Amino acid sequence: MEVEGEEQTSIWNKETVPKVMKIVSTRLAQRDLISLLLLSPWIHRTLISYPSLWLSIDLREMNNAGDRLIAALSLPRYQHVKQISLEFSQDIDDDHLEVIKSKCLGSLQDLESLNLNGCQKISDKGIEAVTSCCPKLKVFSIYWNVRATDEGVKHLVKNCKYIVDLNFSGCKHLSDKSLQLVADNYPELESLNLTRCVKMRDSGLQQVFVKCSFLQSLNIYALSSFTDEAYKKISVLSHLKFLDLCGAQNLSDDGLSCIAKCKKLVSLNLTCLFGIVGVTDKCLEALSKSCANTMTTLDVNGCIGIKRRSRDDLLKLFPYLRCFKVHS
Amino acid sequence: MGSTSTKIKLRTSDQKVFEVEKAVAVQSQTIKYIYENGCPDSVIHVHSVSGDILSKILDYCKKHVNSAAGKEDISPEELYEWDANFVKVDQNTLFDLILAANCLKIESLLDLTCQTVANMIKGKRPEEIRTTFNIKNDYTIEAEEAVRRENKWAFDMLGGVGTMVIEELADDTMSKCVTNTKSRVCVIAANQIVMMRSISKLANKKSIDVYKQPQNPTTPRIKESVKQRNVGTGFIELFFHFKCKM
Repeated sequence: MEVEGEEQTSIWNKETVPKVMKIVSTRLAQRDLISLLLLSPWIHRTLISYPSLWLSIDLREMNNAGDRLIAALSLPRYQHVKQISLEFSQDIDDDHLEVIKSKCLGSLQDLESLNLNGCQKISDKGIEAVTSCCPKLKVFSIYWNVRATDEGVKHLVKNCKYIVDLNFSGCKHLSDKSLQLVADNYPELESLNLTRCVKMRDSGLQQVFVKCSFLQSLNIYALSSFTDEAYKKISVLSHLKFLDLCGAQNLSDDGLSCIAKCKKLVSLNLTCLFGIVGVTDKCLEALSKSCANTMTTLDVNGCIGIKRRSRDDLLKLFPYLRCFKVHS
Repeated sequence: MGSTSTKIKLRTSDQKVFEVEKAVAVQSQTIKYIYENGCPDSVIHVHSVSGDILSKILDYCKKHVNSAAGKEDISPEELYEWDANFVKVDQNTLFDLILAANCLKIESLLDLTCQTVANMIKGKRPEEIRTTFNIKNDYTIEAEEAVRRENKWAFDMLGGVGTMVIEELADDTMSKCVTNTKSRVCVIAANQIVMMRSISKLANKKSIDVYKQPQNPTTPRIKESVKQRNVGTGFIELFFHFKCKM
């Protein structure tokens, strides 16, 4: 009967499909999710009514990212966005962030995670603008930002009091001043990446160790200026699980045996292009004494002083080792 | 009574009654909860599920319970294939399965059915999705235009190519370079001869250009390994790891 057919179609379009799309939508990438909005007003209405679907804006690798971000943040459904990623996107600069500050202030109040990795046009000014909008920020990542200076970090610590995860990898202009600011303001910091922050020295790093005692993950990769003076102090980080010391040329047995005091170490990277000569089998044994039960990843390539480094040798010392990075 | 196979009775929306082994029925978190918090002997009503759909769902649960318990000799690959065939049904049935699995809280079945539908949506334009699922476009022309306009930001521009230029590797020893089908990636790096070979071999996309940087004669000879990881449709993550040749 025609009426029945129409009714079936109506139920399909107005009830069944929207309900199913809502369930499926959590498994869709952003672009596909938004495509659903364009299908019918019933689907649109259903999806928009679930705030949990609209907590993330993904503009990774997109061009015109600045304009796109402004457009997205102008939409009511993103008023409570928690996560924004602009990783490796292009065409976003300080001006866009200023616009966001003046026009979309309300939308960033709940933001917890901001990824600006590779956004090389953003400077301290942009950092000031965007951080002034997101007081609840917890995760901040500006990998490879070569314009950011200590001034930018000053704005960050003033505006965002709850940071637990910081990625300054490749921000080569940040100095000990930034480390001081981080140490003074983020006692609850859990994760810190300082890869290639070549201006930093032992004294700055020590400040962080003393004041950020809850650090779980520390990456000081490719920083050959640090010495045992700093490395020895790592021992106070009793919650440390992940430590990347790749390139730590000045590390010696002394330093590493202090690091061995971090009993919860799960992953330790000691590779080095030019050879960490000061580290020998002796300290591996010291490490084993305290971290044998937790260590699952160990990379000692480049520690030419470590002679017993075959898979079996390492397994004897660290029975739970799963990830061996033994290079030929 | 302590029988090894307790049975649970389930009544569907169309009044069909199924007697099911407990181990099979409690694959549904909903049924499990009701069973553990109510009278074990009474019949559990599954209001929103029809007999046909419940029958199929019970087939699924039985298969998975038996395979996990070793009662059935079926390899993971065979089970995977069985699942794939299980979802080869008409759309009405597939959608009903999703709604039922959601309501009955059977996670693995929900994942299976939802992924099936998600795969039918991925990468398609709205018109195509409508055709696939027989969705009527009830938008007025103005309304549709408005929704398109306000969401334009989420879509790559037609024919637009994003160019990502990485002018130097941030780290000497490792760099992450993400490529997708729409962007060109230009990588300017040291020891580029080796990298060129590996990028073009692994990435296999003509949209990647590699430019040379003057080689530093004091850089030690380095051998490289490149790991490639598929991170989704059209995305490959390339890890370049430079190691010192000893």
